[in-house]
Amino acid sequence: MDDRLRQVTREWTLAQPAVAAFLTAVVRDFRERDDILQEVAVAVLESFDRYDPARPFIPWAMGIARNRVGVWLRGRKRERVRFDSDAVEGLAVAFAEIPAAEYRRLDRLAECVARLEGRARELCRLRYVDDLKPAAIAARLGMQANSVAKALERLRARLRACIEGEAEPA
Amino acid sequence: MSDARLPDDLDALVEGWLDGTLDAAEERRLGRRVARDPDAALRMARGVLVHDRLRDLLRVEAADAGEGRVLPAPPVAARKRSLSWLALPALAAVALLCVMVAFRPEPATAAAALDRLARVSGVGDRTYAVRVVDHGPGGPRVVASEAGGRKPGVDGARLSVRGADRFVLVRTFGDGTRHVDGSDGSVGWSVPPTGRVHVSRDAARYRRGVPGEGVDIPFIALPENLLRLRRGYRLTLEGTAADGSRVLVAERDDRRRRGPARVAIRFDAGGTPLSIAIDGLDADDAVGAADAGPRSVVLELESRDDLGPSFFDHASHHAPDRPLHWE
Repeated sequence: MDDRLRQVTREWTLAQPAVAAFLTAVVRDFRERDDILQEVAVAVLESFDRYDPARPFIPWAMGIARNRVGVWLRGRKRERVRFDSDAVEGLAVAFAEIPAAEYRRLDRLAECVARLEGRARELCRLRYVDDLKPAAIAARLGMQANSVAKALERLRARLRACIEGEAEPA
Repeated sequence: MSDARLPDDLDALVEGWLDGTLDAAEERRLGRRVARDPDAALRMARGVLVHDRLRDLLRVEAADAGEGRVLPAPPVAARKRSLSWLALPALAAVALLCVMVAFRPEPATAAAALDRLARVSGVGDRTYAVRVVDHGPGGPRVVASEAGGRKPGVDGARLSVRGADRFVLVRTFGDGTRHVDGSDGSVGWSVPPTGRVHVSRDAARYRRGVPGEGVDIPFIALPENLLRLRRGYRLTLEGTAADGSRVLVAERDDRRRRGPARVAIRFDAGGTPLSIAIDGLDADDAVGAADAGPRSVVLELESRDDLGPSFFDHASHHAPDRPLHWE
């Protein structure tokens, strides 16, 4: 592995959590997010010669991601797109501003998820492994869609608290 | 979700956005708040983090377990902590970087060639000469001057592109004056020979006047549009020419899809498109002969020179004292 590849790999590895979360915030659909994330990774590599190492890498990579999201949004002009370029810009800046320590704290998530039991684990599986929306989950579990949405909301709140060390997920 | 949701309930709006349970008005409200209020944007960003990481974490665990249906047993914390944030997409992206640097093989299939073209076409600056091969039923579009309020046709134009969304399209009137449209990626602009310079926060606003834009041809946003040829087109990769170039031909085989009837892209060994021939532009969307525009166009690569930091800004294409008109 040459020095350039080592450097871009190291920088991208550190930036990827922020870029991925930014894409999720705008695109929402995880499969589309994965596609765009790969495109961003390729663009980062191929533009790396233009990166000024004196400047922070994450905002630079986020600029590339923002452009790719712009392309994605324009491709959906005929569909209902709720976030305009100002909203996308605001989110890109916000994700770049979150301190690295907050991203690192997410490493605790595996331990918090491992402690989930019963219905909470099932909800996690259906939402995040099977990629189902609340209405589809509700149909599987014989629940109301609104109840599933609320349960997912509470589940994520518990996991956030667990990550922050404030509480254990039940 | 209920209309009774409190306007200030940002966290609930974010949760609903992520799960797709908001109605249109709520989604617009969230978008406006995030656009106007940096604190709201930061709060939303923090709200997304767990949702985003959960998906990658759980899919990695499911993959580790050898199936996608059941959550695995609780992981060994130490092992998972070292890799949990490098979830599948991250690993795939890093691996892709390594593969791309280490190997640049000849694409074996037309689909692979198309993917590669789409990737490479977004890199670096390129300037293409535009030549109209078939003017279509409306005939050549010759516009003597800007006096009539029409823009010149694209025959003989120069199209410069950078990345996926920056472009400069220079067209020339019969009297030799120029009309220049472009985008710096965030601001779209249009510079007629005289008078006001038109600018817009819609970076794609002045792409619309470009013939072919209405049928999604690979004119400006090459990566975006090339990938559209994956669906509804039959792809053929022709053999390698003496100069090392190859030709990828995409012929539309699904008439329900919009787009040109045929696209032939000649590209070099590095994957840079050298020429793009687009036929059948009038296939679907021609309103009438006068609106049809050219039927067949060729873009030929003239230069890969770096165009500098400000070339895609409107200010590079007009005198500094020209008034701006925001649209």
